[in-house]
Amino acid sequence: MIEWGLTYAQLVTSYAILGGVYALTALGLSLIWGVMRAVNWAHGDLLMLGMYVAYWMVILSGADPLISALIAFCLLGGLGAILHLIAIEPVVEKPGGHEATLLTTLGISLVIQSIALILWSPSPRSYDNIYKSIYLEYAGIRTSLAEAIAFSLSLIAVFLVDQFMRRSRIGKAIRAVSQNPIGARVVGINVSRIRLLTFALGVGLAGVAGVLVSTFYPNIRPLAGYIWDIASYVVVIFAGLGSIYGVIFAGVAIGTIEGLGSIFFSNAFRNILTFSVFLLVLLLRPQGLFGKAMRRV
Amino acid sequence: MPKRMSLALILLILAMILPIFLDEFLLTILVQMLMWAYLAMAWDVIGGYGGQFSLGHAAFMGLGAYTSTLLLENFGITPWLGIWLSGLVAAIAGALVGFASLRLRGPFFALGTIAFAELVQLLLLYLKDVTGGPLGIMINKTGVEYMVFESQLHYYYLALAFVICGMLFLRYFERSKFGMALVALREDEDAAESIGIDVYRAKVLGAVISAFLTGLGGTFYAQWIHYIRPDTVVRLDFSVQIVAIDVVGGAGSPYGGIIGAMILVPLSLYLNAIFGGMIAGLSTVFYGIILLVVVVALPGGIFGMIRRGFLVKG
Repeated sequence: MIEWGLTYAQLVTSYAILGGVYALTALGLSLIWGVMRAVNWAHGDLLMLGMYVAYWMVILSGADPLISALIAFCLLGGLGAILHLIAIEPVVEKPGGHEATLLTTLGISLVIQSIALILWSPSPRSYDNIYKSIYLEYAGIRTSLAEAIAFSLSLIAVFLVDQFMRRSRIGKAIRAVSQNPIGARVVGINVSRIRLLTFALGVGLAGVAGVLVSTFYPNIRPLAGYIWDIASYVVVIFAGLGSIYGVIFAGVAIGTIEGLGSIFFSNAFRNILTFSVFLLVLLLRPQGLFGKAMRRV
Repeated sequence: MPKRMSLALILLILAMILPIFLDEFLLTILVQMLMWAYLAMAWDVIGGYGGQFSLGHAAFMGLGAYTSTLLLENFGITPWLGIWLSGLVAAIAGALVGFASLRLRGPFFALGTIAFAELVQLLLLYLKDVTGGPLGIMINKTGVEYMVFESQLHYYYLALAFVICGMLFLRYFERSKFGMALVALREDEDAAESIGIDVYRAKVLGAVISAFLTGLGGTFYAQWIHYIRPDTVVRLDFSVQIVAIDVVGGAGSPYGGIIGAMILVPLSLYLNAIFGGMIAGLSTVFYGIILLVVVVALPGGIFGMIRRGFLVKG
C-alpha cells in the first residue's frame, strides 16, 4: 500500500510541477488578453518557436538553454512587435475588433505552423542537456532538475511581471489601458504604444516558456503548440482575466487535476476531465477564480 | 430585378451542364468546393448573422457523420433517412452550445466551442464499443439507395442541391423576423434586448439551426469519403476552414460561403497538389495570409467588397 501511495504522490507531484510550468505558458496570454481583450491564437505556435530557439542554440553553438531563454525573449519579443503591427493594431479598435483579432491571429498561427513545417519537417526532435539527466529526490519523490528549474523560473517570472506591473511607469500605464483605454488616452498615455509593448512582452514570455518547456519535453515539433495552447487557455480562464498571481494557483490546480485524472481514469479520459473542468469554469464562473466580474468582454 | 434573376438562371444552367464535360478529378475538386461552401453557409447562421463565433462546428459535422453511418452499418438504415436523424442529433448538441453562448461572449464562446469539439472527439474515441474508437468506421454498402454513388458526377449534383437549398434558406432567413433579430443582437446585444428581442431564444434557436444544417453536411461528408474516424472528422482544422471560407467570402450573406469556397478550396488543393510532396504546409501559408489580408483590408469579405462596389456605382 505504501508503495502505491508513493506512486500516486509521485504522479500528482509531477503533474503539479508541470502545472507550475503551465503558469508561465499562460502568463503571456493573460497579459495580452487582459490589456487588449484579444485572444492570441498564435500563442502556442510562438511557444513552439521558443522551443526551436533552444534546440538550434544547442545544436549550433552548444549554448546553455538558460542563456537561450534570454535570447528567445528578445527574438520573440521583436517578432511579437512585428506581428502586432501587422495583425492587431490595424483591426483592434474597429467595431467587431475582437472577432477580427481572433481571425488575424488564427491566420498568423497557420502561417507560423506551416513555415515551421517547411523549414524543420514534422518529425519530433529533442536535445540533450545536463538538467534533464540530474534528478532531485525528497521523501521518495523524484523530479528532474530541468522540471524543477522550469517550475522555479516560472514562479520567478510571475513575480517579476507582477512587480513590473505594480511599480514601473510602463506597468502602471499597461494597467491603466487594460482598465479603461479611453481614460488612459485622456491622461496622456500613448495607447497604441502600450498595446505594442504588451503584445511584445506577452510573446517574449511565450518564447521563454518554450525554451524552458523544451528542456524536459522531448517532443519539439512544428505542431507542438496546440497542446500548450489548450493548457494555457485553460489556466488563463481558471485564473481569471488579468489576474497575474492567479495563474500560479490555476496552473498547479490544473496540473493536479490532470494528475488525478490520469490515476483514476485512463490517459484518454484525462483530457476529457481537463476539458470538462474548463467548460464548467467557463460556464459557471467566466470571470475565473481570481478575476473580477465584468459585464462586457 | 429581372436582370438579376436571369443572371442566377444562367449560373444555375451553367452549374448543371458544365460538369458533364469534366473528368472525375476535376469533379472531386468541385464536390469538395460545394461541400465546404454548404458547411460555411450553415456556420453563417450563427457565426455570420448571429455573430457567435463558433470554432467547434466540426463537432456537429462529426456527430452527423457518425449518426447516419452507425445507423447504416449497424441497422442498414439508408442515409436518405439517417441524414435527418444526423441533423437532429447535431441540433441537440447545438442547443447545448446555444445555452453556453448565453453565458459566454466573444472569445470566451470561441474557446468554449473548441473545448466542446475536443470533448466530442474524445468521447467518440472513448466509446469504442459503439463508434469503433480510433479505428473508425468504413462504409461498405454501395448503391444509390444507400447514398453511395459510383460517379463523382452524382455527388456533384447532390452537393449542388445542398448548396442551392442552403443559399435559398439564407436568403429567406436574412429577411425573416428571426434572422433580423439575430443580426440585431450581433450588433448590440443589450440594445436588441431592450427593443424586445428574446435574446435567449434567438441565440439557442440560431445555434440549433446552424448545427442541424451542419449535421446534414456531416452525413454528406461521410457518404462521400466512405471512411470516418474521430480525429479525421472532428478536428480543429475543419472548424477553422469552415470559418475561414465564410469570412473570406463574406460572413453574414447568402453568397459568402460559395464565394469563399470557390477561392480557397481549389487554391489549397492546387497548392497541395503542386507542392504537397515536397513542401508540406505551403498551402496553409497562403490560407493564413489570405485570411489575414481579407480581415485587415476587406472587412465584410469579398462579397462585402462586391456589394460596396455596386452601391458606389448606384
